[in-house]
Amino acid sequence: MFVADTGPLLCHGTLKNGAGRFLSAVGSLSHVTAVRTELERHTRRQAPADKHLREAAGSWTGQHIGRLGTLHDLSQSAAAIQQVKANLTAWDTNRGKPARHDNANAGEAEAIVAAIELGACLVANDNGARDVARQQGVVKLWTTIDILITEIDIGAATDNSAFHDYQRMTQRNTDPGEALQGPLDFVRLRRRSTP
Amino acid sequence: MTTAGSSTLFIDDDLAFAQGAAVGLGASGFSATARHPSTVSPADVSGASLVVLDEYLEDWARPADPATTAPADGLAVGSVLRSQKPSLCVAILTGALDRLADGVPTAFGEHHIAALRDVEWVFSKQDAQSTERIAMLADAIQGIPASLTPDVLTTWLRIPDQAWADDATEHLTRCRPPLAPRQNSSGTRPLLRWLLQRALPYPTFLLTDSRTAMVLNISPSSIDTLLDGDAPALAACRYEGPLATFLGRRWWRAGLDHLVEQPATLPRLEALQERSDTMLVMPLGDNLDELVPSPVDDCVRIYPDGWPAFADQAWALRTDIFPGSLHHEMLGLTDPLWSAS
Repeated sequence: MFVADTGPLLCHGTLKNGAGRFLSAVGSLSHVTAVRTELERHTRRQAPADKHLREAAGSWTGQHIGRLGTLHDLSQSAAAIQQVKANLTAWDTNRGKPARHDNANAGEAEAIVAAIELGACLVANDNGARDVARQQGVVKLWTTIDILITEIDIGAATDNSAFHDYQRMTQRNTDPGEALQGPLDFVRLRRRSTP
Repeated sequence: MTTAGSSTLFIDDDLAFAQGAAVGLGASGFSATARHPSTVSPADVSGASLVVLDEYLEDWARPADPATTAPADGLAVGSVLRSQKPSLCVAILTGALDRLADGVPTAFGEHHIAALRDVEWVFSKQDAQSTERIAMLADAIQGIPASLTPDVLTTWLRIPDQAWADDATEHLTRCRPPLAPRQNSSGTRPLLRWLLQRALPYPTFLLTDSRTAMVLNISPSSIDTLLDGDAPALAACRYEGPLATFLGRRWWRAGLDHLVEQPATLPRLEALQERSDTMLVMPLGDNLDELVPSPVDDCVRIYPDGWPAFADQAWALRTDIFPGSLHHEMLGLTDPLWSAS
C-alpha cells in the first residue's frame, strides 16, 4: 500500500501515461482529501506558465480521479494532522525558510498521518515532509526516483529513459526531490531504495 | 616493456621529425621505428601494434597512376596498412588539427575528430606532451587483453578490490563496453577505441578532478589537500588502469559515491566541504572544457555531437547561449531558447 503526497503525483503527471506508470510501479494507492484538493487547484491554474502543472494535475483529477485509489478517512485524526503540520512548520523555520500559509502543508501532513495509520509507504519528494514522516514513525519512504527505479526494475523503463523522464519533470516545473547528473546515478540510488 | 609485434611505427614525409619522435618514444622504453612513407615494408607493419602517421604527406613522390596505389594522406595510408593488419592501431600526428577536423570545431576534442576520421587518436604536433601521450597509448596497446570476457575487462581496468567494486562494474556495464564479438580480425582494438573515445573523455564511470570535486562538494584543490594527508579511501578511488592520465587524472565514480554515503571513511572531508542548498551542475566552456560547478538555474542543457547517452548531462551557462555561439548550436531541438534568439 502506498500513500502519495501531491509532488510525486505531479511529477509523473508530466509524463506520457505517467499516472498509469505510477500505478503500475506502486500497485495499490490510497489518497487523502488535501492532496486531491491540491491537485484540483492545480487544474484551475490559468497562467500560460502553469500549463504543464495544469496538465499534470489533470491526469489525476476529473474523469481520472479513480487513479488516486481509495480515499482514506481522516475525520478522526484532526489532532494528529495539526501536530504534523506544526512539525512541518518547525522544520522550515529551523532552516530559515519563510513560513508557509496555513494550508500549504496540508497535503503533506494528511499524507503522513494516512501513511502511519495504514502502515503504508509514503511517496514524498519534499525533504521536510520526509524528515517529519521519519520522526513520526513512517518507515517506508519513497521519492519519485524510487518510482523510476521500480519502473526500470520491472522493465518498463531503462536507465536512459528514466533519466530522460527525470529531466522532463524538472523542465516542467516539478521537483523529483533528488538531484541526478546522469543515468549512471541510478546505480547509486537503486542501492538506497527502500520498498 | 617491448613485446613481439608491439613496436610503434612513425611515418612522416619529414623523416627527421619521425626519427626524433621515435627516439623520444624509445627514451621512454618503447620500441619505435621511423619511416618515410615510401619506405614502409611489410615487416615494419607486421612488427607494429601502433602506427603514428603524419596526415599531410606532401614530400612524397607518389606514383600517379593507378589512383588506388597513391594514398592521398596519412589517413589513407593508415587504411592501407590496416587492410594488411586489421589489429593495427592508427593515430594521426599533425600540425594542422583544424584542417583534419574539416569544419568540425576542434573544441569537440581530439577523441571526436579521431572518431570522425576512423582512427584511434589524433595528436597535435603543437602539444608539448604529445610524446608522453603517445607513450601512454603505446603502453595501453601493449597491455590490452588478447581476448575479452567480463572478468578480463574488469581486471584490465583495474577495478580496485573495494566495497564499491560491484557498483563500478554496474557503471561499466551501462557504458556499453564492446564485449561482443569477443574475437575478430580487429582483435580487441574496439575495446581501446571505446575507452579512448567513449569513456575517458566524458563523465561516465570515471570522473575528472573537477567533477570529483563537485561530487564531494569540495574545491578541486582540496582533492590534493586530502591526498597529502592520510586518505586511503580517496586514494583507492583513483583510476590506475590503462590510459590513467592520458586525458588527465580520473576517479572511479562508484568510489566517490561511496565516500559521500560513508563519510566516516574520509574523516577530513566534512571540514573541506562547501555548503550549497542548490543543485549544482558542471557547465562546459568555449572549448567544452569543464568550468566550475554552477547552480542549475544558471545553466541550460546542451547536446554536443557524440556525447554518449550514458554520460552525465552536458550543460552550458545561460550567458554563453547567444546566436552564433557554439553552445547555442548545441541546444536541444525543442529548447525554447532556439525561438527566443
